[in-house]
Amino acid sequence: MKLAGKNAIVTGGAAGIGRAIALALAAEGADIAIADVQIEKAEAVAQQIASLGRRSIAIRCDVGDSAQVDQMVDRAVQMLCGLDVLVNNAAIISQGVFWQLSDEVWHKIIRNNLSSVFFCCRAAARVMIAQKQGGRIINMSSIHATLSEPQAGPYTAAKGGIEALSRTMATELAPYKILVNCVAPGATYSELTTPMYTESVKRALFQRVPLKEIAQPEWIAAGVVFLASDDARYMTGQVLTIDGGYVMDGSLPGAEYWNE
Amino acid sequence: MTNPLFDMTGRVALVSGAAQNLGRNSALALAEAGADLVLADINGSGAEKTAEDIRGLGRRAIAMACDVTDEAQIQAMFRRVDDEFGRIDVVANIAGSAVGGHPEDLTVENFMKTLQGTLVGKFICCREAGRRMLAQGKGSIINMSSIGGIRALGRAHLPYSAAQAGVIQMTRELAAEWGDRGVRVNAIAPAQMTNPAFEIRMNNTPGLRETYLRGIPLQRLGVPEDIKGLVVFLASDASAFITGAVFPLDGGNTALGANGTIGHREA
Repeated sequence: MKLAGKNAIVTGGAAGIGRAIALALAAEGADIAIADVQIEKAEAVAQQIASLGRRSIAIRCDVGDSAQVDQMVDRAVQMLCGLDVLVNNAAIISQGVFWQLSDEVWHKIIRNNLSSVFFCCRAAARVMIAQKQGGRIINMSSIHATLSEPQAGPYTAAKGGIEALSRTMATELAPYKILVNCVAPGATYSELTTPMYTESVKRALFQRVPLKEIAQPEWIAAGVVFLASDDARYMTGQVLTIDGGYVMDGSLPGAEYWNE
Repeated sequence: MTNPLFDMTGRVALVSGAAQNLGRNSALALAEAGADLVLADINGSGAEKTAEDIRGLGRRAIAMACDVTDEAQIQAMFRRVDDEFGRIDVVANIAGSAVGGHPEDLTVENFMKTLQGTLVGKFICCREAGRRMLAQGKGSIINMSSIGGIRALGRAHLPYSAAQAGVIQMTRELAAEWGDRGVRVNAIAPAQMTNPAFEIRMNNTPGLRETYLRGIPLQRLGVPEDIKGLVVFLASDASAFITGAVFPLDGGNTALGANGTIGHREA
């Protein structure tokens, strides 16, 4: 097991990709604190992890509120006796072209998706620095930090902000052997996204995704496990893109490159 | 008016497996008798829930996520007890885990896993508790065993029962070692306690409940609340002259010599 004896916090771990990350880290031997506003779902995941023989705790936390974040990290550290890995996964979405969005929507998305990452990283870094045992911070970004996403302006800005912030944090935390990296998923099934993947959306998507599949949450979680493990010991400030080839693909739509 | 012999006011008790069933009810009973509690469970949220209920009773309670088969985690837990309370009066080792196996198929790995999960983990908890209680000159340790530690059950119980017999004999050895320094160690051997998973199994298996009841003179299955009185008794000064003893919590099963249940074969 790659993470035996490690203590991890996963925000937004009650469902979707976050749940898959929590279970994948636990399967590699880590003990898990799940921070989420959906406390009942978080507790169900915690119960599942405990039944695998790993310690777990679910903590109700609005990660956009720094006081709640400080309390959550403190509680996780107390309950698990330490902190080695932080995965910032919690996020929300909004819809609308940018010129029609209210101040309120902008502030809400930035609060929940970007400020939250800053708050969690700050609280975790303080613990990890004091522990003097290094650490890992893994921030969930998105291919839409790089690619535009119509109707999701604040979301894309938050994801771009996460990647930029991660590079600076990686540099500032390098002396303490605390590594900071991002995972940028492409199209991935989750409770939130599955209803959006209609047949027509899939057809459009597969014209752009060379591997012509939508990811299962476990395929994204595998990247997080890698970044949390010793295998990634020489990587920091990077973005690990797991997108079926979407972002790198430079082929022209409709052009014939393969002669059968 | 409660007999003051059972009063736990001002005492600090640690209960493992405190998220549910026998552990949770042990913790609640000790809190109701006046004790402050440390709740440990691999399911930290479940332990926290029990802690919240105990705080509701006006007692102090802290919860910890702890795998009580892991030496480092157990030691970290006791260090936290030192920091938070500075003393430990009662340790109830309720949590345990086991893997079943018919002897002809049983792997050494599963046997060892069961010994670690049922016996060695409890030893580590006893040792950590004992070191502190010996320094205090007083303490009570309660180890959860099973009727399987006294009688053979068949039905793939070999690793479980062997480990539980180990718990009972360890309890006696500890009682012999520490009795002259004020630390008492006793064991509880339950039989046929219900829990939600067991209820589902009985409801899905015609005749299974009746089969169990044939071995129980009190003619009902045990419920988690049944442990409350015994735990308070063993934790408190009410049992001041009792150590190294094994208490059946079995509705008379052991007295009947039913060894679990006579004639019970796996479906």
